[in-house]
Amino acid sequence: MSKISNTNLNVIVKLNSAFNLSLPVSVEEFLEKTGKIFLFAKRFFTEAFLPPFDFREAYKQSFSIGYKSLPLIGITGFIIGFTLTLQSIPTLNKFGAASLVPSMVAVAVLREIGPVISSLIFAGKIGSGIGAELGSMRVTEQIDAMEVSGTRPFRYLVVTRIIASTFTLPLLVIYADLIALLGGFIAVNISSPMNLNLYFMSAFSGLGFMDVIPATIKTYFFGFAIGLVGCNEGWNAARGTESVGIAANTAVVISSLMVIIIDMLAVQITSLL
Amino acid sequence: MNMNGTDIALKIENVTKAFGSLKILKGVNLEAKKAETIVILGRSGTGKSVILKCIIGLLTPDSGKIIAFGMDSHNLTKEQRPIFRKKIGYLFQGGALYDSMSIRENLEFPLIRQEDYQGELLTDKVISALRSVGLESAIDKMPSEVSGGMMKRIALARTLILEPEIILYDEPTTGLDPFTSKEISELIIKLKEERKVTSIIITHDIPCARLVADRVVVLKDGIFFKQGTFSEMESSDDEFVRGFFDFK
Repeated sequence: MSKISNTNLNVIVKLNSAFNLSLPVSVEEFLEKTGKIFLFAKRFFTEAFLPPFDFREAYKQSFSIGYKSLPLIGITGFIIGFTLTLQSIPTLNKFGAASLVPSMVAVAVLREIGPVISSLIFAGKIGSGIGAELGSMRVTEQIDAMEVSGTRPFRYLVVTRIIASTFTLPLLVIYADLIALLGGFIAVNISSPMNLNLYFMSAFSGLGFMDVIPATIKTYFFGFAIGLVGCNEGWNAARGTESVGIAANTAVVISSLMVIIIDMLAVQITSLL
Repeated sequence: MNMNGTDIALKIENVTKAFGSLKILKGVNLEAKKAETIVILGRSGTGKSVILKCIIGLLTPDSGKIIAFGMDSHNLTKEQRPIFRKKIGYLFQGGALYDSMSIRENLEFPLIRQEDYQGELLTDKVISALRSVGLESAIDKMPSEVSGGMMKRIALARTLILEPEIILYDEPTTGLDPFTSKEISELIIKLKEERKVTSIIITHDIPCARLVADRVVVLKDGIFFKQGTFSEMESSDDEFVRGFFDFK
């Protein structure tokens, strides 16, 4: 099978070596890796809908993945809203449209910046965490130990984590969006005082269902992709301690890339509606 | 278990296994009687752990059969699989305790998921398993808080909790001091005497092999090429076999 051009190949090989990754270095490897992720997703859907269900573990994972990410996602959201507002005020002032700052920030944050930035942060924190945790369990034979005791480790470890990731990310994004709007409110008040009610009324007046619903729906796909990639990298980690680091790093890179690709597709689909 | 009128617990028939072009097992045959303890000796990287992983089903042999409890381990039905897995225990080289769970949760895990134990019955079962390895006081500790020897004993307790009829030990005493190593060996003997457990043990620890083995088999070039009692193997004419016993 044909290889990617030599220059690209060398870049990927150097990236793999410099950042401890296992990115595919040939078309053949890329197709193989993609195929493995699809098979992994197929196995997830097969096992996710078969009883018995691990509700308790899924809840525990949701708490661990979601609740413990609140501070990081909150700080990120605040900074996004705050800086975006500060950056926008001078430009909108030039056009005499300073009153549009709240609605502009709301549209930008809710439609695009909030979901994407929060998901990238989530991929960095949770994707790598899942990859490292499962990779470490694979290396130390803990997954094999579950397998030999007949306890269906895929369902217990993978299905629960992907479900937790899929359903907690949208909640985290909504939380980040609200904090970002609050950050925007504080930034607006630095230049000229504005009432909180007026700020939020102005922010929401520019929003329609088409701004909120597709942006929320795509975050489920982001969450699923991050959970899936993290679990796939960890579950299929090779033997040896080095592979734990490789699994974690590769999970971050691939899941971040998937967030951006899914976002691009979502924007295209939304624009057709 | 009575297999073909004899008292055979486990039968391995002409098992082969290769990884790519590297042929590891080239036709392994073995019969283990009920309550028999077999020690497998062999150089590192010759496929001893591969045999155990084929028996338990973590690896699939390329050809051959592994029969236990009247079931072929690689042609199990959906209903047979959990029964088979429950009857064969596996003690991993590093213990493989789940490090995100306490010792109690480690032992409860297979019971809750395989047997649906709840409440007091579950706790009693866990305490009894830990008592059998002398470690009931460690019940609420995390795996990171116990020593290597304790970890091995706790892993053995977790293996025992489902009351397997066959236990596979992958280097149970590696990395342990002679005293802890002897304790583990004595536990293996106790299991054989009290529960009539069939054991297959991979070890390089000759004092342990001397204590526990009913039969010693030597793996060389992908086959079991010599077998006998410990004293027979120790005084073998074969230079390779003697190499495992001669430390001078």
